[in-house]
Amino acid sequence: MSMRERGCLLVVEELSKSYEVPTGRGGRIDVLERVNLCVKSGQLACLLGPSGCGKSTLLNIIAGFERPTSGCVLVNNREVAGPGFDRGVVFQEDALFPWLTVRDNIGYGLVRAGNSRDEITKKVHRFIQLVGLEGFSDFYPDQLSGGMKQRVALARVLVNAPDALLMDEPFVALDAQARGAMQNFLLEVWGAMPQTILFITHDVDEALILSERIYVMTAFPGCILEEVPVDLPRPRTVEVMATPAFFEIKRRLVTLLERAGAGKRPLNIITACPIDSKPASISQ
Amino acid sequence: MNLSPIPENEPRRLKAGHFLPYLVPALILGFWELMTANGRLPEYLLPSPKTLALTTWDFFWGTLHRSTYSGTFWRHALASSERVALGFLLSAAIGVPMGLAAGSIRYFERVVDATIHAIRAIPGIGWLPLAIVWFGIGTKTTVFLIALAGFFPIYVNSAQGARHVRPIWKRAALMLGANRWTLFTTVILPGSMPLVVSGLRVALGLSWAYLVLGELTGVPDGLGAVIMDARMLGQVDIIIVGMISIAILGRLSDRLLMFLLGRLVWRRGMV
Repeated sequence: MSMRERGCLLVVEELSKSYEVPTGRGGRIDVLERVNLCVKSGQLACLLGPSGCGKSTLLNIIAGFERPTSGCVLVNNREVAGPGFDRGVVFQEDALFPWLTVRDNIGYGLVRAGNSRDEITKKVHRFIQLVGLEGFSDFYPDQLSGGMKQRVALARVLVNAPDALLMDEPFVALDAQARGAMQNFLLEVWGAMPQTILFITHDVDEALILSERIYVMTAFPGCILEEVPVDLPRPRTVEVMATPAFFEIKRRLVTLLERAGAGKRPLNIITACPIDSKPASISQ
Repeated sequence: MNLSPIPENEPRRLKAGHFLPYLVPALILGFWELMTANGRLPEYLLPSPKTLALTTWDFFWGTLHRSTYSGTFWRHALASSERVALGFLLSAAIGVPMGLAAGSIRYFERVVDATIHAIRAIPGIGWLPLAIVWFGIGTKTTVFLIALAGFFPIYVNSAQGARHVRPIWKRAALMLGANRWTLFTTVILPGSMPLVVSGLRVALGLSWAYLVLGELTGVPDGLGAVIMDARMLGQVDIIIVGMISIAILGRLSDRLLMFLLGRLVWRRGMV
């Protein structure tokens, strides 16, 4: 209950997830084990971990697409029971509806929520402006570049005023330049309308550029190895990224990721999870 | 970042390549003329291109009074088109919803799918005797055969389409507040449209085949009836003209279907 007291908007409490092995004799794979996290209102937190460590599973559970085996997720003190637009998800793959224009993709959630026509038109227009896609309202997703698609995907969830934004490696399919541009763009949007964001990535630099707090995950079973606060000044320019403070945190993260070791560990050997499984902090 | 829309196609220029599709028909025509010239092949086996051209003209416009079929094309074409339209609409009205339901509701699929595939294994022509017993000779039998034959490709394709709607679209829709019903109407339906459309096209093509089968059984009008009558009267030119008419109508109906779907379906380039 301590988590709730700390003023967290998004709380994950003692969450575990295991799957039954399809053909085995009742065998189970533990994907997540006793995960705890807390994202404060308006905070941009990253979930950093090697691929296959269960971070997407964790995000899917928070989004309500999957059920946890035990433990729970609370958003705004309400327990998550299924998907809903209080938790907007930006997916890794292109998840726009290809048969709808940019305008209709962004308005999709508003229509489902039963808004009036005028309201929808007004809001959609505002968010098209916010993500800088004026003039593209009538374009179809396949006429847009990868970066533009993800901007539409962002507008499509922001327009519903969600409590929290869940982003599952949203820029991983973009080339390095577009990724950099989108990271800056996300920070701009975040500055313009503060959102509680949980951002998943396996890229240390991305996590460092974006977030205020980084949860490092390890695999098999997935658990939070450590919680690392990032108290670097913003904007995180090239100069900031050349300071000793930046390198100190980066060194720390890289070491942690090495410990987290990418999924090669046999299933039933000692896990890397901290024994008390309470997220430890490096800030003294 | 590429901010410009996809460029328009360049205007087409005439090239030798454009004539290639006409090469084989021209060769066939030449060979045909060669075979029938100077009575090498008798007219009652294969009429010459010229005879056929005249008969075709007469069948359409009736100005030459060459046979009892003069100018009757429109009447027969109308009768046949009505049967095809009726049968096809029936098969689509049943096939699309059942297919989409089977593709998106697992329990429904478990209930109906095996039975439907078992029935599908019976060739359409095998239904003819039973259809005649049930519906007698004529329009009803023809419409029944068309509807039956068209149902299967529509069902199979629609089910496949619904089954393969990308799961991420469903997740996105649920995340944005869709319920079960709006998930179906706004995601599964448009998402499976490409395959639904190909099912409809295959079915429409089959419709014309089964039209002839139904009309062969002895109805007074229709292009299938014309072909069958002409055989008994030994008018090979009319048989061939009837076949050509069906080819033309089949092609036209496909264009019409694509046009109507293009207006109905949400997106350019989706069909």
